[in-house]
Parts: sequence; C-alpha cells; structure tokens
Amino acid sequence: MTQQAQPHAPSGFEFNEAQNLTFNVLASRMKFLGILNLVFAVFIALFAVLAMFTSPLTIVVSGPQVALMVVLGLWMMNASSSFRMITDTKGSDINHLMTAMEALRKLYNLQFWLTIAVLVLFLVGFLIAISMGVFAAAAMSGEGPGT
Amino acid sequence: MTQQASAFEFSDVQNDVISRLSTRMKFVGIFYIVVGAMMGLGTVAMLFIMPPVAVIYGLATAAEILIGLWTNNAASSFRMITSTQGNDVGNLMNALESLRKLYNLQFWLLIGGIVLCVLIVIVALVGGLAFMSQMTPTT
Repeated sequence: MTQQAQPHAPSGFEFNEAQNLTFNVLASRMKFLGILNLVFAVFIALFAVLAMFTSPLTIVVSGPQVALMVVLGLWMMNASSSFRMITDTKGSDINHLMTAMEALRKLYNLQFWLTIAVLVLFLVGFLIAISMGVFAAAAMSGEGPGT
Repeated sequence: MTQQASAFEFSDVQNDVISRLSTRMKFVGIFYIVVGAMMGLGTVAMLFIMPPVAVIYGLATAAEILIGLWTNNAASSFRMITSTQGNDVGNLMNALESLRKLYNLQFWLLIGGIVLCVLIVIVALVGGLAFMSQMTPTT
C-alpha cells in the first residue's frame, strides 16, 4: 500500500541531497526573476507617473502591466521561498512543496488567461481588419467607372 | 523516520493541484512553441532582408521554442504524477528539472540583456564624451 500525504499535515517524507540541489537552484533562479519583475515594475510605474503629466493615457497602459509584473514577481518569490524551505527545514517537505505548487499554479493560471486574452485580441483585430478591407473593397467597387 | 521515495504517493487533493498546474502549463508551453514557430518563419524571411537582424531573431526563436518545450516537458511529468502510480517522486523531479532548465535559461537571458544594456549605456556615454570634446573649440 502506498503512503498518502495529507494536505497541510506534517509528513515524514524528506527529499534527498541530489533532489534538494535541484530545489535550491530552481529556488535561486526563481527568486532572481521574481525580484527583477518587481524592480522592472517599479521602473515602469515611475516612468508612467512621470509621463502622466504629458500623456495621461500612459498610466492606463502601464497600470495593468505594472500590476501583472508585481503579481507574477510575488508568486515567483513565494514559490521560490517554499522551494528553499524544502531544503532548509526538515519534517514538512511535502507541505512546502505543495505551497510552491500552488504558487506555480497561480502563476501559470495567470499566464494561461493572458494568453487567451492575447489570442482573443488578435482574433478581434484580425476580424476588424478583414471587415474594414471588405468595406473598402465594396466602397471602391461602388465608385467604379460603371456607376 | 523518513519514507522511501518509491513508496510515496500524492493524495487526491494534491493530485488535483498538480493536475490543474499541468493543464495550464501544457497550454502555455504549446503557445510558446507556436509563437516560436511563427518567429522561425520570420527569421527565415529576415535572412533575405536583413541577415544581422535574422541572427537576433534566430536567438529569440530558439529561446522561445526551448521555453515552450521545457514547459511542455514539465507539464507532461506533472501529468504522469496524477495518471500513474509508483513513481510520483521520480516524475516530480523530472518536472522540476525541466522547470530548473527553463528558469535557468530565463535567468541567463536576463543577465545577458542587463549586460548588453550596461554596455550600450557605456558606449553611448563614451561616444557622447568623445563627440563633446571634439566640438569644444581648442584654444
């Protein structure tokens, strides 16, 4: 019979040294990328605030971008610290792993919906371009020599 | 006492989280690969128009496709955790290894980008100073 780990309950399972090494490297890379996301978000926010006086529309475009970068950065750092806890502590490896998995799930869930939004926007833009082309062609043929 | 890795199985609740993560990662991975393929076509077109730009396009295409493939590999290994029995930790470590490669690549791409930005700023500053010193009338 296999051992089932309960969610958020202490588990006796411990990852070995080689596995801990993978967790460590992954944690450090994710931490760096998370911090960089936050730093870039701060830069973009500062730029948007400065540009707001000349072009108020900048804040509308930059606002969601900054929010996304902050959220992605925070989830990356959450996942990173949970991965790090797996190697730094004993007795709760599976709980820390599942916390990291939850952060990763949120991160990819956001990327999933962003991708859907990009695809929908692309499709809408494509349809608008096609309908404008059809209208233009119809208008051109209506103004032809026969009319 | 610690459990043996081969005997460890994730619970149904944990499998649910892993399964949902896998589904989302699969979609994102496929999207990266499709975008990479489109960029690949752009790279081929660029080869005939502007070969130096095609090199940059080519590098970006390779990165995009690698990120897509590793995301997809991680998604498949996560899926294996929920759909098979007896090797949950092995599948988990395969998934995390793919994630490690993915984040490692992003890490080095960002380091490369930051170094490039710093170099551009330094070159621009040195160029600007040289230009200023030439413009200053000599007495």
